[in-house]
Order: sequence, then C-alpha cells, then structure tokens
Amino acid sequence: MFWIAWKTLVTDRGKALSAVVGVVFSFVLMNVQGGLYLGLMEKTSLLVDQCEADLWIGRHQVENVDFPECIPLTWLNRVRGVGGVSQAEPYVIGSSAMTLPDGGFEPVWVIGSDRQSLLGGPASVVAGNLDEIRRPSAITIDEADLAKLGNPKVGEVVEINRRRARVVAMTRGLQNFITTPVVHTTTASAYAFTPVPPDSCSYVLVRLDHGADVSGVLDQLNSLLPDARILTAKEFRSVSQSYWMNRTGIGLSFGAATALGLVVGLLIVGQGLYGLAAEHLPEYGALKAIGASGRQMVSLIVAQAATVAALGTVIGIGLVVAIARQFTSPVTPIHVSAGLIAGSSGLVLLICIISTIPPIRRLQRVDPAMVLQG
Amino acid sequence: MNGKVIEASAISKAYTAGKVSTPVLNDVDLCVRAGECLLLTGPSGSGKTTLLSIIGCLLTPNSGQLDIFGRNVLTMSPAERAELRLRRIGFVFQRLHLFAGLRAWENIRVALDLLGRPASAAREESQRLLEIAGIGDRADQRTSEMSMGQRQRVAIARALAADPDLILADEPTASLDAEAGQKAMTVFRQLCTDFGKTVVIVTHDPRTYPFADRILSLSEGRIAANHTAAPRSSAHAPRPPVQLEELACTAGGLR
Repeated sequence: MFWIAWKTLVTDRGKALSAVVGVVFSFVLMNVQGGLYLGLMEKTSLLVDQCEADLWIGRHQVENVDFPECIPLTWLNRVRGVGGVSQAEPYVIGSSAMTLPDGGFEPVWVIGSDRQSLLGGPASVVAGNLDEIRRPSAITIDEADLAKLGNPKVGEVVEINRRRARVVAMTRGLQNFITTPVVHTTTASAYAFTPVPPDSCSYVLVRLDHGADVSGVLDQLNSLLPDARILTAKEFRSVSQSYWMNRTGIGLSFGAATALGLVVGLLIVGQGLYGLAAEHLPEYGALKAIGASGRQMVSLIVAQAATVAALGTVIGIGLVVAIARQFTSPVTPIHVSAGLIAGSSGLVLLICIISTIPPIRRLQRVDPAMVLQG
Repeated sequence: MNGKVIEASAISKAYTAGKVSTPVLNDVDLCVRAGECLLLTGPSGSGKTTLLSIIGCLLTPNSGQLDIFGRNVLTMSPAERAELRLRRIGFVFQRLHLFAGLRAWENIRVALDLLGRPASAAREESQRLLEIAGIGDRADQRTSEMSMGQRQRVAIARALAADPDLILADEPTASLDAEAGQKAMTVFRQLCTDFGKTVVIVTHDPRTYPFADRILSLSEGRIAANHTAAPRSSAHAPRPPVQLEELACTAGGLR
C-alpha cells in the first residue's frame, strides 16, 4: 500500500505539504529545545566532565560542583592512605573579581588545580602555553569571556582580587551554567585570588588504581570522612544537573515547549492527513467497494503518515543541523545528539501514527455501497 | 454452478429512515448465466441500482436467497464478501471514481496492488488490460486529462484487474456521447463474447439495448419485463434497436 500512499501524497501536494510542515515544525522544535536543554545541562557539570578524577570528595552539604564548601586539607592525607587510591589532589574553587581596564570589576570564578598534576585543569587550550600556568600568579581565561574581561591577551598582566595575574593561555569551552568567567590557575595562586583559606580546599579529587574496587574504596572513605560527601564523577554530574533542574525549573520549561511543539505538530499533521482522506473519500469508497479490506485501508493511511513522518524528519534533520551550526555559542550551546535525533524521530513517527486515528475512523464509516448509490 | 453465475430468488429490500420503511425491491427473482450480457433498465427509483448493489455483495437484502458462483453470499461475513468482490467481481461505477491525478496505468495498478500482485509486473499487466479496453495508447496519460469516454474505458480496464468472472456496471454510458457510448458497450460485448465474462449493466440508455443478450426492466421494485434478444449477425455486432415499448409488450409471464 506504500505505492498508493505515496501516489496520493504526490498528487495532492498541498495537503501533503502541510502535513510535512507540521512534522518539520515538531521535529525542529523538539531538537532545538532538546539541544538547548542538553547544552545547558552539560554546562552545569562542566568541571566534572572535563576532569579525569574518578571520585569527588566535598563537604557533606555540597549539592552542586560550582558551589562548594571548604574542607580541611588534612582530609587529603587520609584519602591518600586508602588502598585503591592512586592519586588524591586538592581542588580549589572560589569567587573573586577581576579589575577591568576601565576601572570596573567583573566577577570571576577561580579554579585552582594541583601544581604538579594539574588534575581538574583546563582541557582545551587554543593559545599560549598551559605549562606556564605552574608559574606564580599565572592564569588562563576562556576565549568566550574575553569581551567581559576587557579583551586581555596572552602575556598581559591583569588584576584579580587586587593582585597581579598574568594570562598565560586561552582556553575554549569553559563557560559554565552560571556564566561567570572561569579563570584557571594553581591552588597556590587560587588561595591568593580567593577567600578560600590556605589550610582548606573545595574538593579532594581522587583517581583510583586500575581495577580498584570502587565500592570498597567508597566504604573506606565514608568511614574515614563522616562529614564528607563522596561521589563518583557520574554521580556528581547527575547531582549537579539535578540541582539546576530543580532550582530553576529548566526541565519543566523546556519540556513544556517541546510538548507544545508535539501537540501543534500533531494537530497540523492530523489536519493534513484528514484532509487527504476527505479529499479522496469517493476513491477510497470505491476501493472498499472493489474489495479492499479494512486492514488494507488502514495500511494506506498509516503508510501515508509514515511517509509524511519520514519526509518531515529528513527535512527536519537538515534544518536542525543548520540551526545548531548557525546559532550555537559557548553561552547557549545547542547540543543535538544522535540520541536526541533518534528519540525525536520516534516521537514524530508516533504522533503521525496517532494522527491517523480520525481519518481511519472516517474511512471506516464509509459504506462501500454509497459508491453505487451515488 | 450449472453455468449460473447469479441465482437470486425472492429478493426484497427496504430502506429504513427512522420509523419509515421504504420498500425498494419486492420478491425479485433473477438468474444470470455465464457469458451473458444482461441489462437492468427501468425508471429512477425502480430499484435497479439497489439490485446491482445486492448482486455486487455491497448491500444485504432484507429477505430472499442469493447465490453468486454457486455460493450463498448472504451467509458470508463482510470480509468474505469483500474478498469475493476483490477476486471475482469487477465494478464500473457511474462516477468511475478513478484517482484523477494518476496515469491510466497507475489507476489499474491500484487495483493490482489490492490483489497483492507483484509491482514488477504491474506496468505490463496494466498495459494489457488497457489494450483490452481499447485504450492502450493512453496508458501514460493522467485520467484528469482524458475525455469521459476514455476514462470510462480506464474504469473498465480497472474492473478487469482480477480477471473477474462477473462485471457489474452502473450507467456506463450516461455521461458519454453516442460514439463513446458505442465504444464502451462494444468493449462490454467483447468481454462476454471473447472472454466469457458475465456482464450486468444498469442503464437508462436505449442505445445500449442492442448489445445485450437480455434486458430486464424493473418497475416499482419488481421485474416488469424480461426481453431475450434475437441472435446477432456477428459476435460483436449490435442487434437492431430495441424499444422499451417493445419490452413492455413482451413482459407478461417472462421471468
């Protein structure tokens, strides 16, 4: 029945086109909204995603990687003594302010990594030399924050917390969810730039031995550090994303927009398919009179819907890729993943199939005898 | 089957709207043999289209007995009746109901698809059927661009898709000029003579009478006249014109 479905769509382009437009609308809206959501959610766990640590140890109350509470540095030695731990390093996160060339201030988020390992340091450097970050008061800034920070260049000296800092490298992709510029440095410099006391840190980052028993290590650490919250990187990513999702209602907001897209798409597709069925009612009645079975008639309408879904999806993918390329930015990334495309394609097919119910019911009511009765 | 394609006895049908029941057919008996070309005539409202719908398994009578190809169709399920229509009965509707945007051969393919015929052979088979209907040279033309007579023949070709034993046609010449009507009726005549098909045609058109083997005239839901034509000079040639008045004269006792 696909051939007949295709032919009836091609010969009634107006209605077919309106149905395809409905699918494209739904598909693009779902993917752009979903891509924005995924992009923003990834920003909420940016530090965790870019870090190679297996475990994150912070204060018991910590709910989000960007908002830590200080923990004693003495925890570091206790962690290093646990079997299965290959590396444990301090990680300092604190807020500060950079003095701008016009005399103003811009809040910055200072991230301090261990000087030797640079565990948790920037992953992508586009200018300068990352090794130089080990020098005193050396910092990196992200290219996306240049304008906010007065366009400092690599090698220039800036002022953070009224202390001199030299920009040694430029990073890429380090815009976090709260959009405050991120400055990477070593822990020693971070103590100078932020109010974090030098006998404390924000997290202890832990790397485990290859093949280590993760749950066993966690049990030991939990018994050693009863005031700590110890999470695997995967858990901390999820915790950080849940924090922003619950606090901001971002999930509901994007979900509502996506659902609206689905409903509008459903209505447009349904109207198009119904129009097609109504237009060809005498011909379909004739097919029933000739002897087409109920299953064949249902197959015809479902095949039309599937064809509309396929066409709309193909056009939609092209549009989504173009929109993502054109409009994605470090501040508002649109992350269109294969999973998102596959999921939305499935949803689009589902709404197209659902939208066949009214035309199928209409066709079922057609009495084949009416073809002869006129 | 004993050569009987249709055997109907005491067929009655009434349409009911609310509490009002309007009888349309009253105790109609009918027997049609294989290869016969039968015309059903009569004034509007005489019940001929209803009779055609019942013979075509599209309508169920209120009472009576109906065997098609020796099978009691009144005990069949709707799905079985649909299957019988699809495989063994061809329809030519008064309004044709072709897909206007499709080419002639594509309209035939629609029927072939319903029959589950392979797509690879559809073009060739459609062409063959259009040749039989005398319109093979228009296979690639869209039916929306055709004359009524040409469309009529496409509809006849479509009715032949399943190679049915019985073909039912409703007013096939009503919208045609004399020449096109003559061509369409010649095709129906050939289907009976050359291919052994049984053809039942509902018509108002006296021009079609010479092509028939038998003409049944209905009046007020009953068979008022049954006229068997004289032998024709050649297989496809029409007989001398038959007038309705003549039918009326021969009505007595003919069933």
